[in-house]
Amino acid sequence: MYKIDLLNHTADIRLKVVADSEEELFEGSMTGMSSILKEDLCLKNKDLTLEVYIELGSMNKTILLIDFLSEVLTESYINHAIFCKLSIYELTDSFLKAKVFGLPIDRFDEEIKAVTYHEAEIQVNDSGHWQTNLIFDI
Amino acid sequence: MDKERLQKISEVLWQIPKDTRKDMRVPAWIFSKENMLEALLSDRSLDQLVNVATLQGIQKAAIVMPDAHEGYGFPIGGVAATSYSNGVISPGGIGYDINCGVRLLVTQLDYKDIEHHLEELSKELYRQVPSGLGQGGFLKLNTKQIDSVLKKGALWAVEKGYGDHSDLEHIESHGRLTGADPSCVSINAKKRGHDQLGTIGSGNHFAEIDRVEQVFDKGAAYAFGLRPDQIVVLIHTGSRGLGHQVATDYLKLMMKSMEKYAIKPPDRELACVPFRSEEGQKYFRAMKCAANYAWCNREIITWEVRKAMDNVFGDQAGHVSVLYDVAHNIAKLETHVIAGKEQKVIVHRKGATRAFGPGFEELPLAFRHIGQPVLIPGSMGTASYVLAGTEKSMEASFGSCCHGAGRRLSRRAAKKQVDAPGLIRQLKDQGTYVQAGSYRGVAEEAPIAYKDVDSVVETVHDAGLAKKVARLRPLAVVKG
Repeated sequence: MYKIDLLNHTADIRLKVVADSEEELFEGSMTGMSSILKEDLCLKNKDLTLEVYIELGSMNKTILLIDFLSEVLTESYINHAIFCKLSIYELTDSFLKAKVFGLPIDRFDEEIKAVTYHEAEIQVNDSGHWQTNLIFDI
Repeated sequence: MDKERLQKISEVLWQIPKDTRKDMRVPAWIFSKENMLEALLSDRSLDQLVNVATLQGIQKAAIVMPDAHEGYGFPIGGVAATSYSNGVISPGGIGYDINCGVRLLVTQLDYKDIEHHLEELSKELYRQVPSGLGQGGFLKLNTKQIDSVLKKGALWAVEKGYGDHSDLEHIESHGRLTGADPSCVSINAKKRGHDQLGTIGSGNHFAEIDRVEQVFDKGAAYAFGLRPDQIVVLIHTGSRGLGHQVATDYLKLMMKSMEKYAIKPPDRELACVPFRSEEGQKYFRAMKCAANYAWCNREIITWEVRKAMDNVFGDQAGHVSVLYDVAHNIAKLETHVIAGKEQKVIVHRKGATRAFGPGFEELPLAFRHIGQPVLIPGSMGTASYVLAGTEKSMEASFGSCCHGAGRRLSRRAAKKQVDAPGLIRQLKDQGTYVQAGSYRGVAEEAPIAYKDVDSVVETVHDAGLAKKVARLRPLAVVKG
């Protein structure tokens, strides 16, 4: 389970993602981003016809999450697609092997220029959940 | 940031002293009138500015303009000049939309010639200039063609028949940064850019028909080719997905490389490497490619605007010429006088416009004696400005000025407060036609979401960073 909250930011979009596990934090962050690109699409569509394999290495888990989201964003634009589901095969502090599943779309609702590293910090909160803030440059 | 930490230098300049935080290498300067400080103090803009003041090799001061607001790493509306010999280059100081910028076209038409054709013109403009997301342009380029665009910039469009040679002289850096190397740009960036030339995109980008509402400086306006009631066209967009991908790719590279150079910035988005390092030079060459793509994009949009004018007015439209084209997200290698000596610096302008004064050799002869045109887009329904760069800006802000009205409300707050269909009707009643891809985009970019552009411009005028030449009022706005 994961929960996504939209927080205030003067010019861009700030999300807070809270999840039961690290894997769900990655999936929640991805679907949060997808919901900016195309509102509610992931809630409505179960017919995910596109698959993209992703393998990434980064300096730490927070940077890995941002690099993963950047990769998915690039794939979204190149394929004109929204990605709604994530299967993780391997996740360490600095490495991710996964597949994302999505569907093609005609038009995005919003343009995300980039997923920024600003304010992102994967932490375990007082209730034992995994959380981070994410800022998207719009 | 508390107001108590600011020192008042003048009615339009405030300082955060260098000793405010021990890692600051220079003070931070804020160009703002006192009544505009509240907005700057209400978000993290000034904390972010203090972080910028810690960059290796930063010279004189970290600076923000009166339109500044919180960004991510660097504040938007910021200027930072770093030393060529031992300073850094930071993609965050340029932004993800490399060479986001503004172009102003001047027509031979007056308001009376078009007042009864405004709705038709706005619809034709919307048809000819693709805007919004998922809207590719009419050009689909292969890798070889993209590489040529990245090297040649606006010249590529002119050579292909999408512009006039005379346009090039009226573009910052003549629409082409030399030293651009397409081999430094990733395949993904090129894929994203293959069908986006001639497109505006979304967010705060637009194409707009304006009327010259007021002329403040007759001599400068004459030299720029502006007169009261004249119809002009303002274009605001950048390097689209290609530029966003270049910035993303290199920020990632710099994050990995910083350790090698013992650089630890206070915010990851300030990731940077020495300018003269291999990574720094590679990024600079890739950034130049994206900047060239943006100039080519605005040149092709100009071709589309000319087509729309021809389709509506035929021969009566006359020639639509480029007054000027400026970048407001870019880094340039420039020479400035620092502590009495000429020094080479990398001037990062993130949401700031170059504003070089009279005599600058790159400028066309027609207005070289006036100074560089500085184009300040406002929000739809308010106003935009044409200013002229000054000698003082060279001393005070590395030849830089503000870039717009500056955002005040978050997109979320704007969407909550604005009834988009109602706003479109209200603007129409006031004589401004809006053609937009979505109500969401209209609400997010409503005038209420922005600071008062008049106050922003008054501040830079009073600070002597640029002088007011003309005020433009929007008549038709095309948005994504």
